[in-house]
Amino acid sequence: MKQLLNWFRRGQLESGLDRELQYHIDRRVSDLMLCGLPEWEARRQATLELGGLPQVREEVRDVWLSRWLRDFAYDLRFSARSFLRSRSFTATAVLSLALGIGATTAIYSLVNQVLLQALPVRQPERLVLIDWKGDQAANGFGSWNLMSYPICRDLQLQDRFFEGVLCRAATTVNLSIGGEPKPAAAEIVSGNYFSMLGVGPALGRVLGNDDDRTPGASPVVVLAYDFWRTQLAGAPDVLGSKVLVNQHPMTVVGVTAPAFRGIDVGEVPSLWIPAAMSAQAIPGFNDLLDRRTRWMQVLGRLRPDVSLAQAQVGLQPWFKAMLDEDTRRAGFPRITVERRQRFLASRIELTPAPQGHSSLRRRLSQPLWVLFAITAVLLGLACLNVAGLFLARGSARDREISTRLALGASRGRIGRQLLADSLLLALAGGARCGARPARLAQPHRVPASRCGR
Amino acid sequence: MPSARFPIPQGTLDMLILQILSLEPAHGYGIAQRLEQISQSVVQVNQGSLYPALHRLEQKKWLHAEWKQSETGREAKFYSLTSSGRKQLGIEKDSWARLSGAVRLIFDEGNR
Repeated sequence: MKQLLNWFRRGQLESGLDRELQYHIDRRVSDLMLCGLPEWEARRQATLELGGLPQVREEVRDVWLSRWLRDFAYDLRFSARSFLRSRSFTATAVLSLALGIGATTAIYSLVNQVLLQALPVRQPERLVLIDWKGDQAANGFGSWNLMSYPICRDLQLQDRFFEGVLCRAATTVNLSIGGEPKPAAAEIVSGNYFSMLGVGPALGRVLGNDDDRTPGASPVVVLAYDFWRTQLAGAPDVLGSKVLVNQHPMTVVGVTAPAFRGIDVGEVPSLWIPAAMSAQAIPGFNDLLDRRTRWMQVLGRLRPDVSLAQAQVGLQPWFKAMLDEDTRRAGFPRITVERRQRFLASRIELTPAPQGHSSLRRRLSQPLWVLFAITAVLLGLACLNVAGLFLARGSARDREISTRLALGASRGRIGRQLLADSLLLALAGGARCGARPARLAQPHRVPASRCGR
Repeated sequence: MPSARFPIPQGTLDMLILQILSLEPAHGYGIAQRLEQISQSVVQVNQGSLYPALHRLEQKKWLHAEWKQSETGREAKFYSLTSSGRKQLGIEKDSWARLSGAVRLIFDEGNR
């Protein structure tokens, strides 16, 4: 790093070295002349003793900046100049690279966000989605992998396999914070949601089991960090304040940790509401305790000593017994014999869910991979295009290269020069496409600062 | 003339420079002369390698360089030892003493 700084102050270093060496020679010459040598002879000997001034300079320069870095810097400078000379070539090459790289990075960041990134929670690799395969003989609403709240509570008792089991449902509520009600994305969650995920508060507290005991008895909400920052300007006095959720007053008890945005990349919640308050959060919903209303996704955290397959096999006997018991419960719907058989043949299925649950992911995973493959091909084409351009330019540079070879440049040296060419071009292409998203990423910053005045 | 003088062993030039500068700050030519005087012309320092060494030591922050008026009235670049340079000199002296002691032991063994 220090060496790179030396490159930028090399003019100053050079003139200092010149003065230093000049002083040495002059002193040596006058000393030798005192011994009786004629001046020209003294000057010759002084230079000889140093072993030649250019050699000394070159050696000192190697100290400032190691040889290959220095050569590389010169190569880059030369490349930049030659690119500036042939502008149309440079523009074409940079543009096609920028397009290729830009498209690939854009799609990759989407793939990464939606498909690859694990949730920012404690040990996301141990999370599994618990799903009911078969007929639940139930009504319901919501998207995928749904079960009822009481069955989730039953699953929470299976602590031979799970450290914890949470259930959640995404919904939209009318939220008013001292003003007009606005629709806000909310996540209705079981009381152990935050402790099971290992997500803490940035302010106040998160929801706990006590908030999810008696239906209607715990009117509290936790706000999402981003919502709190953008909609409430990060006001610290939000704790304890009353908000209206679908006209029901509730108390803000906390704000979640900054990185946490729920467990569904497609639906980032603005607030979390305990499942006990689901009747208030979802107008007209009174089936929290109904075993045959499927509306929540259920995620479990496997115990460290239990594998997914072990848990899946181990859960089936309990599950069969529960199915059997359910058919004898009061309120079990009247269904046909075939349907009853399908119900009894259901089984429980676990799938790894380190990225949480997402209907978006479910829908988009295949198209996204296809899109990603296409952009990769596009990048390949762009590279091919640039390679062709380089080839054409190479034959035009035949003369330059043979001149340099004739002047004594080694093949390796010329190869490095050409590599520097490609590197500079690739960097330029990357920078070209990097500059745009960076500007787009902060759209509301600029006007905000203007309004501030 | 050159046959009577030893070329300076690899790696000891840095140590000698540090030692000379630990007495008082000096410029490049002064260091070259002092090396010559102190070693009574036994050790031959290639003066060309003196300047790269000085710049290397300066870059390692063992030396501090400053332009000052020299004894002839002209400006010269004076080098002085920094505190980390002083520490380094201690380390190098130590390891040199251990090395030369070990070599002597081996020679003595052969003479017995």
